[in-house]
Amino acid sequence: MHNVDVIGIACASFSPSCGELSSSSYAIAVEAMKVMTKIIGGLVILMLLTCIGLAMAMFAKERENVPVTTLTEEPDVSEEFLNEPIRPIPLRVRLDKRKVELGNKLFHDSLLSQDGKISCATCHSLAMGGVDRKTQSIGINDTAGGINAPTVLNASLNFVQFWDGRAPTLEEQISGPVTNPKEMGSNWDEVLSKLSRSPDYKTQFSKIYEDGITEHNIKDSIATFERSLYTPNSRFDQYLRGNRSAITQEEKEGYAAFKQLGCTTCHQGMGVGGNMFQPFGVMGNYFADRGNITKADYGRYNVTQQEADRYKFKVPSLRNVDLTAPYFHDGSATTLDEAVRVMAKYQLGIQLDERKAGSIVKFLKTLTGEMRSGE
Amino acid sequence: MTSRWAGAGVLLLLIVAIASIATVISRQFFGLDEHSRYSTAIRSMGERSEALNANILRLRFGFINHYDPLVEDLKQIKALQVELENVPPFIQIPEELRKVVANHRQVLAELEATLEELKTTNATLNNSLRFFPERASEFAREMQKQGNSALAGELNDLVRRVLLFNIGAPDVTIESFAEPLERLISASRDDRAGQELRTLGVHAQAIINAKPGVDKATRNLLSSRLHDLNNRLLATYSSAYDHETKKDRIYRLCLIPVTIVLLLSLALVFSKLRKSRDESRRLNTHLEERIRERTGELERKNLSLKAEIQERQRAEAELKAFSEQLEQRNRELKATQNQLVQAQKLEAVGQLAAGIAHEINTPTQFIGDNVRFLQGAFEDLQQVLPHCRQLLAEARNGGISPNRIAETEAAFRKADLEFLSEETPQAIMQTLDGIERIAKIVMAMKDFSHPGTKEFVPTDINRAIETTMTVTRNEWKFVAHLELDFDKTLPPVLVLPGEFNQVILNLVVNASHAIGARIKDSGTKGVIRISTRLVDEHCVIQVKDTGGGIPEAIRHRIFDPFFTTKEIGKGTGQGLTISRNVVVEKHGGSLEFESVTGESTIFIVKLPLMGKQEPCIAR
Repeated sequence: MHNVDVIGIACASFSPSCGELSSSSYAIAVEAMKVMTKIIGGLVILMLLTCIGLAMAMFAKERENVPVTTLTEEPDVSEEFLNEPIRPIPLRVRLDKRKVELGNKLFHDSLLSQDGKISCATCHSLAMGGVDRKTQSIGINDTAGGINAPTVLNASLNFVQFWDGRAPTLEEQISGPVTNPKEMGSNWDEVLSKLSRSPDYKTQFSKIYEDGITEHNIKDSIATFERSLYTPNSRFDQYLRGNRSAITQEEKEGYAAFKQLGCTTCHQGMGVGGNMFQPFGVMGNYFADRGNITKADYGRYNVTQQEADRYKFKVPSLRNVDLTAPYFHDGSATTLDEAVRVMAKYQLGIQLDERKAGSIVKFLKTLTGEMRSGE
Repeated sequence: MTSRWAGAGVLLLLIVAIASIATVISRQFFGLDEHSRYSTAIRSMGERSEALNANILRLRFGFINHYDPLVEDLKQIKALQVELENVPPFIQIPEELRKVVANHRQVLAELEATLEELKTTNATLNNSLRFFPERASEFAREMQKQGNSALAGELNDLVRRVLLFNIGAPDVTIESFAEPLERLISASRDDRAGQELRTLGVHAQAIINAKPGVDKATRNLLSSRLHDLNNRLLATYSSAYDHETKKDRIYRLCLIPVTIVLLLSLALVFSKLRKSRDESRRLNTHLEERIRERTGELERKNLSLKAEIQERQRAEAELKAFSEQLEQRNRELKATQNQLVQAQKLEAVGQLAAGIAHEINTPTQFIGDNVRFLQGAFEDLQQVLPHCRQLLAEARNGGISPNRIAETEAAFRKADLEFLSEETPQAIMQTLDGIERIAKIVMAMKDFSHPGTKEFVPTDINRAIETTMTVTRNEWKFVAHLELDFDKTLPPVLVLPGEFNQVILNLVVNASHAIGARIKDSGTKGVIRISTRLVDEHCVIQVKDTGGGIPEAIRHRIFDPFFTTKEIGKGTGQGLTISRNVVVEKHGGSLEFESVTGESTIFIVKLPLMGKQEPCIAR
C-alpha cells in the first residue's frame, strides 16, 4: 500500500496533466483498496473472535462433563452365581482424581467444623472401617450424637443416606453432619469463609471448578472422594467371581444359612443391604423389649411423618460389617454374633442356634473388602 | 469519498448478516442440542418406567432376588426427572410442559413411596413365605410322628391355604385365617412346640398381612400413571417443539435472502477488489511508461531549452550591445536634434533677416528725413535768432526801432515759423516713433534669438506671442491682417521661452506662407488670428490662418521630418517636427490641428500651466 501511495504522489507531482486525468481514478482505487483491506481485516477479526468464543464455550462444556461412573454397572459375576441375591462390587470405578484428592483433604479437614476440632474422618475413620466404633459419635464440645455413625465405606452403594434415608444422595448428606449442632455445628457461610482464607484451597478449587470455592463444589468433591471409598475384591466377591476356594466350607454354609433363613430378603444386592427400608422389629417388638425409646428410634417416621414409617430404617449394608461394630442405629449390639441373633429374633422371628449364628458370622466376615482410592 | 461510504455500507451489511446468521445458527445449534437432550430424557424415562415395571414383575415372580435393579431404575428415573424439570430454553411457552412435568414429579414421588412399601412388605412376605411353609410342614411331620395328627392336619391345611392365599385363590379370604390362627397362637403352650407354633403363627400372620400390601403396591406400581404421563409429556413436548421448529424454518427462510445478500456483497467486494487491483496494476505499468516517456521528452526539452537559453543569452548580449549602440545613437541624435533646433532657429532668423532689415530700414529712412527736416528748421530758426537778440537788446535799451520790428517780422516771414511750429513736433514725434520701432525690433530680435535657457521660466505667453509677431512682421504684413485675441487673465506659464517662441514663429511663418501661396498677387489679404485661453489648467493657443487648409492626403504626414510643401530653399521640413517635439516631448503638452480644406487651418497648442508633468508623459 505504501509503495503505491508514494507512486501516486509522485505521479500527482510529476505531471499535472497525468494527475488530472488518472490520479483521481487512481486515488479512488487506492482509497477503495484501503477500505477493502479494512473490511477484510474486520471480517478476519470477527471470525477469529467467533472461533475463540466457540472454542471457549466448547471447552467450558467439556470441563463440566467430567465423566463419573457410579457403582451401578453390571459386575462380572461367575455364571453359576448369576441368580445370587448378592453381587460383587466392581473392581474399578472411574472418578476425577483431582476431585478425589480435594475431597480427601476436605474429608480430613476440621475446618469444616465450628470449633475446628472435628472433621468427617473423626467419626468416619478410614482406618477403622469408616466408623468411630462408638455407640454414639462425639461431636463438637464433646457432645454425644443421637445415633450410631454408619460407615462411610461403600456409602455410594446406599440408595439413600442416613439411617432414616433423609438424604437421597451423598452430596445432600454432607450438609447433615456439617450443620448438625451436635456434630460439626457449623454452617456453609462459615465453611466457605474459612476455606476462602486458605490459598491452598483457593488454587486447588480454581483448578477444578470455574467458580472456585462454593457449597456445591465442596459437596461435589467430598462426595466424589466418598465414591472412591468402595471396597471391592472381598473374599466373598472373589467367590462370586468364580474363585470357589476364596471362602471356606464353613463360610459357604454360613452364606447358605444367610439365604435360607431369609436374611437376603433385605440384605441383598451389591451392598448386601442399603437398598431398602425395613421396620426394626418385624417379628417382635424390639423397642418395647429394649425400652428407653428416643426420637432417633422413630427412624423414617422423622422424615415422612407417616405412621407406617415408624421404626423403619434403611437396611444397612453388611459390607465390611466385621469392622463396623457396634451395630444397629443405637449401637446396641457390640458383637456380630449378638447382632445376628437380634436380627434373627426380631426380623425373621426365629431363634438361631449357636452353630448357625456362628457360621453366618463367619460368612459376614468374608464381606470385608479392599480399600481402593478412585482410579 | 463515495467508495468510503460504500465500504462502510458493505461492512455494515456484512455485520448485520453475520450477526443474523450467528443468531439463527446458535439458536438452531443449541436448540438441537437441547432438543436431543430433552427428547432423549423423555424417551429414556418411558423406557426406564417400562423397565421398572418389568423388574417389579420379575421380583414379584421371583426371577430376581435383590432390589438393585429397582433401586437403579428409580435412581435413573429420578435423574431423568431432574432432566425433565430443565425445560429447553427455546420452548417459548413452556407452562403446559411444566405442568405435565410437575404432575410427573408428583406421580413419581407417589411411585417411590409405593416402591419402598413394596420392597419392605415384599421382604417380609418373602421372608415368611420362605420360612413358614417349609417349617410348618416339617413341624406337621414331627407332630404326625408324635401322633398329633389333628394338629398336623391343621398345620398342613393352614400351609395349603396360606399358599393358596399367596397365589390369590378367590375362595381364600383373610377372614378365614382369623379363627385358625387365633387358635394356633393362643393354644400354644410354653414348651418348645408351643413356641414353634407361635413362631409359625406370626409368620403366617405376616404372610396374610403382607400379601395384600404387596399385591396392592404391585398393582399400584404397574398401573402407575407414569407411563401415561410420559406419553402426554412426549406429545406436549413434541407439539411445542414442532411449533419452535416451524418458527425456526421461518428463520431459516429469512436467512436465505440474508445469505444471498451476503454472498452477493462478498462477490461484489471481491470483484471490486480485483478490479481495483487490476486497475492499479494497469495504472502502474501505464504510469511507468508515461514516466519513461515523459523523462525522455523532458530530457529532449531540456536540451533544446539549454540551446534556447544559450541562444537567448547570445541574443541578449547582442541586444545589449545594440541597445548601447542605440543609446549612443540616441545621445548623438539628441545632440543633433538640439543642434538642429538651434540651426532651424538660426535658419528662421536668417530667413527673417531681410524682412527685419527692411523693417529697420523704413523707420531709419523717415527718421533721417525728419532729422534732416529738423536740421533745416533749426537753420531757419537760427536766421531768426539774431533779430530776436537785437530786438531783445533794443527792448532792454528802451527803444525799439520800427526797423527792427520790420526786420524781425521780415525774418519771421522768411523763416515761415508758423509752418515750423506746426511741422517740427510732428517730425520729432515721427522720429521718436521710428526709433521706438527700431528699438522694438531690436529688442524682439534679442528676445527671440535668445539662445534658450534649459530651465522652465514663468513666461507671459501674450507678450511672447507679441514679440514673435513683431519679429515676423515682415513675413505676414504683406499677406494677412493680424488679429490678436488674448486672454488678459492668463497667468504666467512655465515654458522654455526660446523654444516656445520658435513654435509660434514656425506656426506664424507657415500661416503666412500658406496665405501668401493662396492669395498670390491678387492684392487681397488673408487673416492670421491668434488667440490665448485658459482651459483646465492649460494654456491653449490657437493660430488660425485662412490659407486654404491642408489637403486631406498629406494631413497625416505634416509632422513627419523633412516633409514640406514649400519650394526648395524656402523650407527644410523641420518646422512642425521640431514644434511638435518641443510641445509634446519637452512641455508635456499637445499640438493638434483642425483643417477645413479650401478654407482655413487652426493649429492648437496646449501647454500645462505648471510645465511638463509626469501625467503628461503617461498621456
